[in-house]
Amino acid sequence: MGRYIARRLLAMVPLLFGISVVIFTIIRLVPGDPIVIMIGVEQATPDEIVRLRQVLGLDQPIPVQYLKFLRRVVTGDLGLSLASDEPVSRLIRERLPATIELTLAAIAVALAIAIPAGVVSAIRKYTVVDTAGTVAALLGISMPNFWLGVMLIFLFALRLGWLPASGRPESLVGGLVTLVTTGDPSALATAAAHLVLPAVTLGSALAAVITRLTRSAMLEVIGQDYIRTARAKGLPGPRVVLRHALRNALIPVVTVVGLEFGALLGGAVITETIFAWPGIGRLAIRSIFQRDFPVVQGVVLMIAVVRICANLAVDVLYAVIDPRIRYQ
Amino acid sequence: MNRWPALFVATGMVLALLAPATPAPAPAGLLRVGMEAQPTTMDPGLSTDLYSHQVYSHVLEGLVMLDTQGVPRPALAVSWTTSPDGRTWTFALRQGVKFHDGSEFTADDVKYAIDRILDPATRSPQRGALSQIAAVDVVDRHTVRITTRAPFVPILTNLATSAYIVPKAAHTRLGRDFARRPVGTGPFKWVEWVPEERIVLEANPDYYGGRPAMDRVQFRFIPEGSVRLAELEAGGVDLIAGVPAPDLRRLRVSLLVDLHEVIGTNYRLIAFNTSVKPYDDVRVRQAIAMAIDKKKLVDVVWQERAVLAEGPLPPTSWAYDERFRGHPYNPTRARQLLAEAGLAGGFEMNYLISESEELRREAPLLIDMLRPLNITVKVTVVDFPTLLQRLLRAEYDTLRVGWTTNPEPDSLLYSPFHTSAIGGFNFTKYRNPRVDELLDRGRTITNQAERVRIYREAQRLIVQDAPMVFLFHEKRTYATRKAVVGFKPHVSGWIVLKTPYGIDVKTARP
Repeated sequence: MGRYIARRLLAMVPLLFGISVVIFTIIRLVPGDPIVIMIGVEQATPDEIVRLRQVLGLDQPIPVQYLKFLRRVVTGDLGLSLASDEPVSRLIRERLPATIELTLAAIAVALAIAIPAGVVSAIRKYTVVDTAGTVAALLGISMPNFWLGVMLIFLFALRLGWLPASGRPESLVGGLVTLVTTGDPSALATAAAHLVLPAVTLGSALAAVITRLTRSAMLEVIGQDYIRTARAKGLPGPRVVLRHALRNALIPVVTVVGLEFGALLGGAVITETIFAWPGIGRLAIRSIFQRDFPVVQGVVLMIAVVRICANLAVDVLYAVIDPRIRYQ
Repeated sequence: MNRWPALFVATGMVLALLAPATPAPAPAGLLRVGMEAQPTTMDPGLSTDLYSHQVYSHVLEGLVMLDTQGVPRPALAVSWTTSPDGRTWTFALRQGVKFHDGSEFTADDVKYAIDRILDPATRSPQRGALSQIAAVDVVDRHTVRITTRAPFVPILTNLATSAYIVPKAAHTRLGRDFARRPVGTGPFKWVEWVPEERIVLEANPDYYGGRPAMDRVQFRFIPEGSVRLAELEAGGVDLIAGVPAPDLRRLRVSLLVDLHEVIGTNYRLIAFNTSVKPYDDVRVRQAIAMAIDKKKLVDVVWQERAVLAEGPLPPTSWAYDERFRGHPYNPTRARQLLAEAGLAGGFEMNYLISESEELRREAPLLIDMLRPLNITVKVTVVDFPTLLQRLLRAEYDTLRVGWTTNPEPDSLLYSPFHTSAIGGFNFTKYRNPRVDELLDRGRTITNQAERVRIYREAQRLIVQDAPMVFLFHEKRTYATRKAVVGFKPHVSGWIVLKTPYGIDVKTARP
């Protein structure tokens, strides 16, 4: 297993190299001049633009710029933002925890809703419960994030006043630390309260997908001989369902969650914008509109790394869930 | 199998634990501002965006500041004199002022701050506004002399909006970190910046203009308009900028919030590339200007967020001429003009707009308005950076854009219309020697009444030549909770919470 993981990690190198070439070239081929956006409509004069382009090295051919970029990236330096002159690595580092927290919370919400719902749907096949689950899943998939998010804010923040509308004054980890060190739960409560609506919004579509997936996987597994054998042996129903059926039905679910983790990371852009969530998505959007090349490159590379690692984690988890799967 | 509902209940309980009751009320003495976007940098030499300016202008100050009418008033300079040739400005600095780190404010800081912006190596976006400055000299510890290349009256306004004074010692010491924790002389001191979430400032008790009424100010960044408003109505923030248009009418009669509007120093326009056919013919440009029913455009799309423009000078400008009328809506005359230009049969108009909901709703109206002239409008939608690039390279026939600047008529008119700015921001390639002459003179004359006459004449000639169709001036809207007292939007369109000139925003929360 160790060798397998090492080999997979090694394979990341050419993959990331390819991704970096593509993103580096594409963002530069998109029309729109970062210099003009940087110095502003009112102030830019042609010679000023030419001069600045030289200062920033943007006048050189793209391959030359790429090689310089590559040389720096190898040493872990992602460059400086054109807009704010700050290190890209710091911009990302400051925002990544918020996005990961939101993404993991969304997955947690999705699993907490979907697995029970999927299992019940499968067991009570073709009953009212099953139909209701199907309708709810359809809604979950169909509702766009931006709409659902705004509706949730109107209902729970504005009308009912139960939850805050936006922002992230505390991190969940920071709240936990405060609770452990000082015994004060208020920071954790604040963090959790701010996390609920964005996590539900981001997780809703995934919850729907997993509900359907769990249901069909359960149906398939329940029909298998070993389940019938287990029942015939007189094992209690819940034990059969949880230990024998669900465990096997979870394999496709793990795959989807792993793949969706990367997708959620990217999909967080909209949710972060609606809920003023201080994550990577807002940085990405702004940098694209400012043609802030170094930041866009940095964010894309970072998301690529996380996605590849998530895929690797899925493969490893397979072996944990299903002992028949072994990697060489 | 009957135990399954229990699992649901358990899940529900976990979720309920995560969701405590209403958010805690804000403490007294804290003012929370909801902004549309996060600032880029707190280094005044490097920033160009409104959001950065809005925050650092509470921490840092210039020699001069604009009051709510846009008139330059003393700030870090207590007074100034102009030499007879109009090129030398001598500023007497305020004495006994301390930066927030305790160091004394002196003439050296002024020289350092302005020289730094002028140094090309700084790559400062503010350089353009100050480029008329030839030298900054320290006369003594509390006197600074600024020499301009030619007599240049707008320098006062430009100093107010583009030359914020940073402490030489702290700025050199902090280097790039200054952009994250600025040190100034302003009414508020820097506390913290949580990226994408909030910036916190606290009152400067030693401010020469008096201690601010609020102990703390928190700027929060909430990009989505409807959510920003929901936060305000739910009590999460006290003041927001940028109110969504569909809510304006409702908020005007709201018992919970007050609405504030200001017509910014801007104009929204359709530009003609006057170097390509048929837009090189003034009759074609005038015809299109007369065929566009601006009122309808504003009524349908922009509603209460805009006021009709007659020319480039907005009603809030001191040079505004309330009797001046631009091209009134007159489709009959428009058809005549096109016939005179030999284009009664019409032509295809390539029209470039940037991505925005309003602009996409405007376009069909324009298509309808120009159809009677047999003009077929072909709309191309691009994102804003692309539009900007094509505008600067003059790679367009007609396009839709806006011009926003400080309250100086010089800033509103010089670079878009002076011949010397062709290749830069005179993107219509407009030339009129008489307009050049007026704009050159307007910069050099200190007599205010004379300046008013000059800019009014320049506006009349420009509108006559119609290098652009001046559509409307956009308003900037703010909403405050009723508890907020003393807020008034600044003419430049930004949030000002405390000045020595009567502005001191506070909340009446117990």
